[in-house]
Amino acid sequence: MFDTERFFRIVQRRAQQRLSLSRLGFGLVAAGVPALLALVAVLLFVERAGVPRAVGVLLAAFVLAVSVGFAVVALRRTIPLAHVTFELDRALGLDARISSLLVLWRDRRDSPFLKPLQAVVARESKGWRSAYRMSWRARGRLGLGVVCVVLIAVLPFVGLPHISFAASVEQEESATASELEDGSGSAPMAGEDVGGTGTDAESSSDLPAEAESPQEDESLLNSFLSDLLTDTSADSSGETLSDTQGATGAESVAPDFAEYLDALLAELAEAGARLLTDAEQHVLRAYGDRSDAELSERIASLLAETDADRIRAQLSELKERSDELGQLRTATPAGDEQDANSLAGTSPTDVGDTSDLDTPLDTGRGVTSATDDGTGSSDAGSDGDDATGQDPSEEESVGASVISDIVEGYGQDTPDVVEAAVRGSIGDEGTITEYITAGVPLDYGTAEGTTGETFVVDYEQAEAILTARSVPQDAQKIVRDYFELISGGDR
Amino acid sequence: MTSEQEVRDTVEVFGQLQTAIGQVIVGHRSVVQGALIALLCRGNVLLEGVPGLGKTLLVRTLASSVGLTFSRIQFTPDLMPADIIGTDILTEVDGKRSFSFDRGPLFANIVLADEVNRATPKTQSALLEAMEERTVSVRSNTYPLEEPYIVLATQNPIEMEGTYPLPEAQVDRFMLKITVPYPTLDEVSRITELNTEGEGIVLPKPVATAENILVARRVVREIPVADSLRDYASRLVMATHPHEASAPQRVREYIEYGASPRAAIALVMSAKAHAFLDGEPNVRPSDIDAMLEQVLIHRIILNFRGEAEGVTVSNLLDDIRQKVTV
Repeated sequence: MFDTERFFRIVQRRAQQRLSLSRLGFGLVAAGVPALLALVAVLLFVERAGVPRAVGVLLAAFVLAVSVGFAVVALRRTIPLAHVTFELDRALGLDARISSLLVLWRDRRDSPFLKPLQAVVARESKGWRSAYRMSWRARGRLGLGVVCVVLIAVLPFVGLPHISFAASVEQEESATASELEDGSGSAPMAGEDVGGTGTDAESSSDLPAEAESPQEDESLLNSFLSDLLTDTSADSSGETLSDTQGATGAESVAPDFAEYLDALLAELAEAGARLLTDAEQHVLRAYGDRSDAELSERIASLLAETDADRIRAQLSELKERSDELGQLRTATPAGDEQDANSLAGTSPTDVGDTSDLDTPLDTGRGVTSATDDGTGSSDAGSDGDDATGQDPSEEESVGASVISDIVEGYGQDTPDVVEAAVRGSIGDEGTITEYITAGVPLDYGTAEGTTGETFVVDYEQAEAILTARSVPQDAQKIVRDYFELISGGDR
Repeated sequence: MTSEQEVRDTVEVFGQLQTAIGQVIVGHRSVVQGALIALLCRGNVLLEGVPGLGKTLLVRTLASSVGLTFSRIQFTPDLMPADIIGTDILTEVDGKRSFSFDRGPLFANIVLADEVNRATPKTQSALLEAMEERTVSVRSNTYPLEEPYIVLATQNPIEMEGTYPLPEAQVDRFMLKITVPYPTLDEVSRITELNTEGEGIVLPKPVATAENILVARRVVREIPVADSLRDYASRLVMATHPHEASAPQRVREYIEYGASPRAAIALVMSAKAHAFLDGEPNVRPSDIDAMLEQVLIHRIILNFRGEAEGVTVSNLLDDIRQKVTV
């Protein structure tokens, strides 16, 4: 015999329990998520002021109390049985049989349809429990709420996981570099050589200060431009880190930027009509910020353009103008001479002049041009190609001269530290302390005995040479400092 | 109070009744079902269809199968009220003259008012009292009509010239309006076979009595309707009102007047009868949906724009059904 009274009592209680659980989940999420966010914000920004650990427990208790309050209210509220049976009918697809049974049970127990309906309901509602199964959404809400409460209670004790900002920025840099590499095709990338590594290391050491700057994106771009500069410098002649460290202004990257424009133009031509991507716009905008008024204005106009064809046209114009500026710069022999002098160490006062550090190509030439007479007077060619095209033996002698100058000049008239006013590659313009150093030739011997243009990039190798040459320990320390400097302290 | 046995017997009788009618009336299941529902709910039916579809045969078959008296009135423009309700006539008995009431054709259990829209409004209105009050008044006398009583009126939708369309007040008294559709190919073949072979159409013998119908009416009223379904039916009716918030957009645009509370009563009652004929112990949402159109289609009046744009009430009811859920 179907116990109608008991059936209705059970389904009503089950409905209330389910509603209560649902409200508990709702309460946990509604109170827990904002509380968790607030707590995280406090831990992030007010951590130094000190947050009592008990705050988390109290907050979690509050959230729990609110949620349980929701649940209790739901549990105490009687759901109308008509509503319960209606929902049950709908969930089980029973064509309002349970609701109709309720009507008869409530109002007309002597109805001739009562027993037939009881029989039908008893037969068709066997799976009624499935109607009260919690939905995935409700379960998810409940789970999320519980996680929130646990986090709220635990976070003040364990703190937020420490995130190495330098590491994250390196990741961002590499991501940006690869993105730009994708966008520019043949554009040279950072991190492929010693010079690049050195620059990266230097950038990383400056990054904590950068991290507080809102110009984080800009620093990434600067890093990219700096990498371009370094790369070009390494390609043009030996691995002269001093070159890359000294020249980070926009002027010095003009040839690389021109390459970038070339690649961009080629890609636009290949892709047909398309607009600039965010990354491309970013690069152009940042370059424009560092360019002279004319280029900056051209770039601003280009960025404002929305027509694909006009963008290409303006890019071409920008490229031509950029090339013109680059040619103007490389056609200045005086600067080359000064560069050569300064990098050979024979004219240290010149080194402080930023005009000497115009381009990486210039500095590369400076090293090679010193081989002409060993005194720093330069008659080298006016471009970087000349440098790479020189006799390797000459370059070896230059290397020997440089290391010799460093070693022998230590403590005498060659300053190891000079001040240089530069336009920073990372931060604002200003004066920074700059170490002027040079690479060490791998094969430290006579000019006749040298065979290549490879420079020592490892201190162990350099140390072996210095020891073999009986270089005093003090002088060796200078060399070691140099290597530590170029490797960011990590030899 | 009806007993469970009465319920079982009645359900069985009506099963036999449907079978008997189905042996004569080919197809038209919804029409037959509508007529039975009206009979069970003490309602009247307006049948609309072109001539030759078997409307009259349906009514005759129904009357024959339940063993009830049947009368057919052909409505014409010159038909007078007295022609249908009857009149007092002067009679002389034993030398004494007196008026006696000569009953008209309305005094039958089942009345077929054929082409009801061809009569004048005066005659049409004579039907009002009979249909709703189940009484006929002549001079100062009121005569009750014998139960079960049902009026099935027909009207032809294609010959409207010279007709008197039923006024809204009178249309509202028809519980259902059933559109008689054309039969299918198979049905036509079966109809020709029935009418041309052997003895032709033979009306069924009675399988039910007037008493069975009266009991069935009580049984139908006992069928439970869930609160949610009663609410659903009410909301459906309310959604036909253009100023109601729950009304669909097209209802607001094209309907002048919605259905009356009488329509809600008819909807719930007919849903009960529908469930009964299906042998169900309770009203289901599908019962209400099934009766929605037959109950409401003649109670909704389109506005000028609706008429001009050729909107049909049937389409509007579909909109309502989609918007209003159980």
